[in-house]
Amino acid sequence: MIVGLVDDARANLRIYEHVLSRIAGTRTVSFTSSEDALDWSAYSEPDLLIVDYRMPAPDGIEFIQRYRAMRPQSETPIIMITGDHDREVRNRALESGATDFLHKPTDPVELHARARNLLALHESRRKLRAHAASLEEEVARAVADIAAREEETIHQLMRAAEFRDDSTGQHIVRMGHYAAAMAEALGLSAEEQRNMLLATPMHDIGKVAIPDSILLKPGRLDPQEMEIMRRHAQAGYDILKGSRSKLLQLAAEIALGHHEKFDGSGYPYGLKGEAIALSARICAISDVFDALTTKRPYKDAWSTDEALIEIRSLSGTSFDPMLVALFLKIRDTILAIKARFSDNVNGVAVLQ
Amino acid sequence: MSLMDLNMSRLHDITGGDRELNGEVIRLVLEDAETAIGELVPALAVRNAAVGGTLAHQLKGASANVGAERLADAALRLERALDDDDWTTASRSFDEVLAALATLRDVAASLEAAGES
Repeated sequence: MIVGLVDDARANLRIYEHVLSRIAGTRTVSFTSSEDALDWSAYSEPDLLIVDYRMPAPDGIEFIQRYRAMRPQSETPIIMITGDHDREVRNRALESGATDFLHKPTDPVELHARARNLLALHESRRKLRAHAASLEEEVARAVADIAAREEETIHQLMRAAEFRDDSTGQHIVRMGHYAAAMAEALGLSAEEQRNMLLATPMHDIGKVAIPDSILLKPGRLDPQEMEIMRRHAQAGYDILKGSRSKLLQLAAEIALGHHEKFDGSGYPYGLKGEAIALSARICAISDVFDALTTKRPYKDAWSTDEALIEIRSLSGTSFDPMLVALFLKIRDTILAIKARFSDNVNGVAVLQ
Repeated sequence: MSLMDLNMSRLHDITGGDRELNGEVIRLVLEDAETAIGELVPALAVRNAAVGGTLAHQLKGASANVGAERLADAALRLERALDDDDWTTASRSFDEVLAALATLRDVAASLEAAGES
């Protein structure tokens, strides 16, 4: 531990050095000039400062004021040594940040005891702060670890679902990013944006419950098959519901509502307007836009302009007009996402 | 040597009876005092009570700490006279400071000769 000593009388400094040398692990740094001591303090933070009151400028009080102003976060204790018993001097010193006082002529036993106690207190505080910081770090690491595991689980789940669908991995990657971009444009929090990024790709997870004969049928579905196909929304919800994870709760909400239409003509419940969850309304636009602009076995990719015209034409019927306007407003961001996650790029980018 | 010139009990208290340290702190007091006197003379000549007061205070503090009580008392009287702007008393006190300092120098020399410091 380092003790800074400031006194214009060299004999006093020598005495303090001698007394403090009896405190194990302590090193003293002495200054006859308070200005030099302040210069030193700019680079070194002592564990204790012992400062004379009456010195050529700056005096002890001004020294303490300047030290505290220079290091506002510092908890270094400061003992001021004064021959003055003047209450006004003591009050000013306390207001300036002095921790304790000693009187001249200095009692070596008292100096030793006060210095030792203040150093021990300072050390305890330092250890406590370090412990708190380490705990904080540990918690942050644990939270990050949980988030990473959650993302990994979702990623694996999505990979499993992909095996049963003809859409590419990049489809869900882009959808997640479109949805997150809309969430950002809506002013949702960073956590909500992240959740949209990760939950939107799970919108079709319920397709795992649909028989291959229907899911992978090349032609049009008959009414009965269509009815079965439509069950994937409820099935996805049933798979994801009941989780304590906010992310999975959101994913369940999206899975259930992403085929609802703003005018009430969608499924499974024919919900209308804002009765449909915001997340599901966002997902619906992201899903359709990406489906339109992507080449599928049964159709060519539409141009971006054609797809945006289609989205606009569905405003108020399939889609929430407010979200359509927002989607068109962030067109440049949408196009950048489309370019970044083209089908030539591996789908694992979903979680990045 | 009288107790007033140098209180050996006080000196031993702060140095733990370390003879080498005794000699070192007295030497430092004497050297700092010489420097202070060198600055006090012109300050008193132009009646600069502020500078004189700070120097007298420094002399008092350092000498009192090592047990040089006569020098500490004389310096205290000088400091108070300067605080009161009493230049007659200040002049007399300054002479007492010089006398106490001369005595302390002698005491230090005799201690050194006796191997006490």
